[in-house]
Amino acid sequence: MRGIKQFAKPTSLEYALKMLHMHQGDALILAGGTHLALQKQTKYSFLIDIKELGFNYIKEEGDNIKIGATTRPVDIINSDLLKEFAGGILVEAASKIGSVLTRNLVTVGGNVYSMFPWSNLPSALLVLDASVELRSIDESRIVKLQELLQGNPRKFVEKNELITSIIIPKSSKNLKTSYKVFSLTENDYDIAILAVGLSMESSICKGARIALGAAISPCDLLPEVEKILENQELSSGLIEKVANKAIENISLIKDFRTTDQHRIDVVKILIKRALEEIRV
Amino acid sequence: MEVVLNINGKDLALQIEPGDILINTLRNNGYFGPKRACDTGDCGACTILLDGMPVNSCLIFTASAVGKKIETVESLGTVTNPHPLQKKFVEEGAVQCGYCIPGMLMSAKALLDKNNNPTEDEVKAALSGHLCRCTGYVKQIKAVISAAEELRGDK
Repeated sequence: MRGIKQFAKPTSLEYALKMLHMHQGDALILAGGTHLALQKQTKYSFLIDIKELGFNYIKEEGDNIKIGATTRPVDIINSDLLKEFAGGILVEAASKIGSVLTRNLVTVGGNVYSMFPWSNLPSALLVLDASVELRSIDESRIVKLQELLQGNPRKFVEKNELITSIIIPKSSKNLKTSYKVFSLTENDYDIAILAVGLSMESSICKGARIALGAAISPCDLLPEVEKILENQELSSGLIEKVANKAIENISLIKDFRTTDQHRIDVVKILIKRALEEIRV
Repeated sequence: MEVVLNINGKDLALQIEPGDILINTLRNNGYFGPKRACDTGDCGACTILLDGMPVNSCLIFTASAVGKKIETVESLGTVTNPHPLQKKFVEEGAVQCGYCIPGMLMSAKALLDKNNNPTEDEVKAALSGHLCRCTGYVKQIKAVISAAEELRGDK
């Protein structure tokens, strides 16, 4: 990448934040690098590699599960804690990222911050009601992931701030989940991503969280669709109704690979498949 | 900036630019095993092992690899003394143009280092980050399973 004049690999958070503070507006954060490495030129002159800050962890902390910002998809896939958590939706989402090679590089923080339409983790994290921890030299704040995504992470995260972890409430543990993606070929970017989490009492859905990604951007929850499911028996009739509602006011992003109608059909089918999977 | 990279077990002091990408550094310094093809992390031809994990060297900043163990296909075997994986790839006819093979061998090595008795599905999963436009994948899968047998001493 042309333009970079200095490279730093701090080993403590304090030092990294100090550096970021000193060079704010002129520093790029390097985590997995799978996006940055593709850029041929940059206006930034300082590159701060944050992979040695000790943020590669998945742990329980009080009422939450905390995932460090530089945790990789491969770590999520191999995590016994996450395999059991909410039907393993995060493991499923992580296993859809890129290829087996890029899953050894990508980081959770980068996946959330870069927020490409096809990023796989944000939709699953939305369903789990995740929050994001941000640190700067003089402040620490925790914001809802949805707020971060809607505010565009590149603007929402201040120039001297670092995403340090993703926080998932343990109350999401018993959600019945399903995670579906559709792409034209196995290694193409996804055209639609759908994450569903239902809290079920026998066949009655007490609450629902449904997140759609790739077809819309940023990925987001569908509250009007979720409402239809609340306190209802998950019947095939209801599933049809939910799928129709989901595509009612959908504002698709531009995508030259396929037609709008095709993507609408795909979203509808993914919702049906996801809900049917939970019903069975 | 001056860095020391550990490539195939040897420490190498190199002068690099802070924005350099590992595949370029490797190839500029005589390690022609990792191949540049897509340059976007899609094809796997540039695969190396970083601390034993297969990764795309076209997506890694050289300076990030300092302090890590870098392994390229040059570390596997020689023409006169090939690694069982290299031998079996040749015997099974898994190599045609050969461009994707150095990367594929590294992913296969990472798999066999962890698991010397992989199932066909495990081999498929391990090689799934590699595109081959000549042979298809059947012979390469067979070659990895056959190399595993040799490494275990079954054959």
